[in-house]
Amino acid sequence: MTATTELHAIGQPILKQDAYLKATGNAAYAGDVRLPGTLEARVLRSPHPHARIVSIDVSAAEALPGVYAVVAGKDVPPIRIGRFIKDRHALAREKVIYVGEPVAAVAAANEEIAEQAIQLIQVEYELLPAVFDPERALAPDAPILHPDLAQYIDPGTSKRQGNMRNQVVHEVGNVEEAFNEPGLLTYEAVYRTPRQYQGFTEPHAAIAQVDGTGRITVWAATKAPFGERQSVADTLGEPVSRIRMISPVVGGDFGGKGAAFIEPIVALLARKARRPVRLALSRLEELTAMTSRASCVIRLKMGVRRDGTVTAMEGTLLYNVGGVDDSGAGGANSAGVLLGAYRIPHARVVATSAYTNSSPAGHVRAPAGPQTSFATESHMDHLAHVLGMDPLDFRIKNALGDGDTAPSGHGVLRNVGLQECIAKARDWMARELGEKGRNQGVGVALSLWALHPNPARVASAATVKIDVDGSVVVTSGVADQGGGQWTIVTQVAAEVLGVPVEMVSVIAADTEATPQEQGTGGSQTTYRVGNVVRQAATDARRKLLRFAAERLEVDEEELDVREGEIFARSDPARKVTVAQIAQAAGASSAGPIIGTGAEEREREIIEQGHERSEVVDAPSFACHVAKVFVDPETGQIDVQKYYTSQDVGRALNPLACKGQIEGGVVFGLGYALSEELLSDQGVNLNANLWEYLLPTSPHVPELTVELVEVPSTYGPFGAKGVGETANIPVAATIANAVADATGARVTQAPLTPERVLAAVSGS
Amino acid sequence: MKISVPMVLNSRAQTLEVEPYWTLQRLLRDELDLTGTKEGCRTGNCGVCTILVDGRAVKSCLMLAAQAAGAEVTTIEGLARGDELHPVQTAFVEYGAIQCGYCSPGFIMAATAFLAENPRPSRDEIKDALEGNLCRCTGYIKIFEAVEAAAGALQRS
Ligand code: FES
Ligand code: FES
Repeated sequence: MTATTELHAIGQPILKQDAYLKATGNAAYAGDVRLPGTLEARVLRSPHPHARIVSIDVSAAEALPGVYAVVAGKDVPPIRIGRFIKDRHALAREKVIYVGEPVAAVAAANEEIAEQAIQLIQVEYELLPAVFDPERALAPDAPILHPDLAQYIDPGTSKRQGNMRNQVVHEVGNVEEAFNEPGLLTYEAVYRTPRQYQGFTEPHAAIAQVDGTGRITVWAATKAPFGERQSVADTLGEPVSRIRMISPVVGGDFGGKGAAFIEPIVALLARKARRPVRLALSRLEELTAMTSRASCVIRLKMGVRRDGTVTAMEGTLLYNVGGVDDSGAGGANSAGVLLGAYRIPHARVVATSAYTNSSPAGHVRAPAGPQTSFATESHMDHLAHVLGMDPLDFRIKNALGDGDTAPSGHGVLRNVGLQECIAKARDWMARELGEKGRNQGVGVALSLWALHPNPARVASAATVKIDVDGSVVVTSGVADQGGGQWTIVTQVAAEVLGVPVEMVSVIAADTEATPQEQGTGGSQTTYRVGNVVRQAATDARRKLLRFAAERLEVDEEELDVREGEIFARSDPARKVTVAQIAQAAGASSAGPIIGTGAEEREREIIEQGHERSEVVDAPSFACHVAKVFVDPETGQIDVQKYYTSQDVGRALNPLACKGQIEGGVVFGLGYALSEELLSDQGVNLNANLWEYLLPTSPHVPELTVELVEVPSTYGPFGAKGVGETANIPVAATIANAVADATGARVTQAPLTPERVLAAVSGS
Repeated sequence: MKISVPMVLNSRAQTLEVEPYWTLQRLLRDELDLTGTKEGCRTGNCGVCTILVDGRAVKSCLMLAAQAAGAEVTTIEGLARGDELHPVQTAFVEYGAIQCGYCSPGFIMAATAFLAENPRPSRDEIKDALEGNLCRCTGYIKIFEAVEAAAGALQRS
């Protein structure tokens, strides 16, 4: 932690530096990058869910005036790409396995010509039997999507065969014995959750440019430029150093913008055309061919003693990951996540992901979180009801606390702020909920997102440079998809160095100009990147003070920095400006002041050593409450009040923290009430924004967000992750409120009026 | 065959050569490089392309450029007076109504037109007025607060 006692940049509702640019229309997103001579690209996509490609004839398209390049499967190497398991090609080679899979692409002088050229490509298909239901896909006679699955590269070590993408078993204690306990109350139910689209307002866009030596630069709407660079390089058969990926301002991600789908295609086209090529996806393409949250069927059984102690859990999760799986270990990790925020001594959970001929599954805000939470929190609620216990008392009795093992099975929980969250929620309920009228109900649910950052595997770094005028430049590989990451980087550096935030600028997310970074997400960015920036800034600060100490002839330890001035604590009149020291250093043999933080990190890792790999020091808990009115005639749910208290460790930027949580709750309300990507025979039916129903402003309930601050041990200034905890339990909270209002339990999300009516009428 | 379309664009009178099938969005973004007007659906369902045509909020993906003949068109780039932000812009920045910002130009334009029509709106009126604009990041709350604050600021000015 910094030596500065009062914090000036941390914990302040600092305006996002980039908000001004965005408010004036001056922030350039990938689709806004303008290069002279840019061609427009269009992609030809598979109309079939499963078919062999017999032949592709692109000659007519190539002959069309205004067409500069056409590429197809023959232009990509056999090596497969992917963010997690490498199970796809940028353009289909031998066969297609989902509707919308890219088959060929064109770059032309304008979009009209590109569209026309696409129509001229002749593809002959031989249809293959397809399978859409994950259970059927796992049957022995099902058509196999990936005959070479066993040879695919997969960073996970899980079991896979046939259409089974992976299977993970999470086991603690002895479940059989636990369920045999005499007098144990057991309850079993099946829950179903939908496919959910990330729903960012900025569709995927990318632009590629080739220079005279053949090196390629790609600007893309991505949060993971380093990972995507690998996929582009593999597709082009180039070393990564010949590809430069830049992530400019990104218009929302929510998990969906970390995988290379369009970037290798624009790069291929640009290389062939020797001109810049741009591709911006339509919403139809987004909702047909890009990723969504895997749907899930969850069978859950719990055993509870009469005193309210949950002793046993048995569950199976079956995910539909579509034709290619960009959800990575989401399915796998979710086995443990099913335990939720609870201490359950005996549990066995089997999570299975199945390939089907549906559109790909991917990451969506808190992968596996909302699915498992919908089941577990609905189940807990039902058990409380059966036992006649208050739903919060029942949860508190079984809740995880300090010293418990995290649900993933890895690491011991520390700094658990759950009790404070629940206490705040109770106060609010007493104050604000009022009487419950007819057809009104109140529901609660708990949320936990417990990251386990292993410091020895930190895939982050930063440099901090002090310029001659005392300003600071940070380089970091981190992308900002709207979560305010660049602002946090600025604040942390300003805090450590004692300079005003306005003096700090960031160069970020450029594979050539910044250190490697694994990518924004997992609610880990503030924690992880914040820490490396803090370390780099501390390094720079030390160098700064060493120089100043010589100049001022005082002990280094005696010095502090504030508002750009370095002064002796005992005698503040002895001072020198940061700018003066930066100039002096730059002119000396020591050279300009640049902090890297490598030493600092080494030291911290050694100090924290063993303990760090054993503890989850930043678990993010929340308590949600909803009050709803259910129309008994129509089944329509009106969410009247919504509340959440969330432990953020330390709010580095309270305004941004609350904003993230509000956004998360409304995101969760979409999942709870209206969002469901529907399909028939692999064709997504509501692939547009008028039938896929994202929450709009009239749907937003009266929403109260309260922050709890139980600091993490190792996060920057005590911070914990924020972004994902908030959307996880919303569907369960609503389902529990509906059960309270109607006495009927809806076990399938979203809770559409039809499903509510069906549950109420007991069918 | 291009046609000549006279209009006042961001306070400057000019005549633009446009293809008859170009939308205003296409003209602004791709021909004039005014990329503050965003593209999110081209079907009128997201609102990120909202601009002002004769003071009214219009989704520029749904209007042909040629239809703007003789009109006064304002995009997000033309809203501030020099370095001085429009009160709606200031409120969006100050109230944390901007996260990824992709929806922001559209919301700011829609809110500007709305407040000109209804200077003292209730929360419910604001919610209804902004129904055509999607935001996935903020959950809308800070946008409502910003519009309320902007209404106050406009009253005072
Ligand atoms: S792009 Fe115009 S409304 Fe979506
Ligand atoms: S701020 Fe990202 S969509 Fe509104």
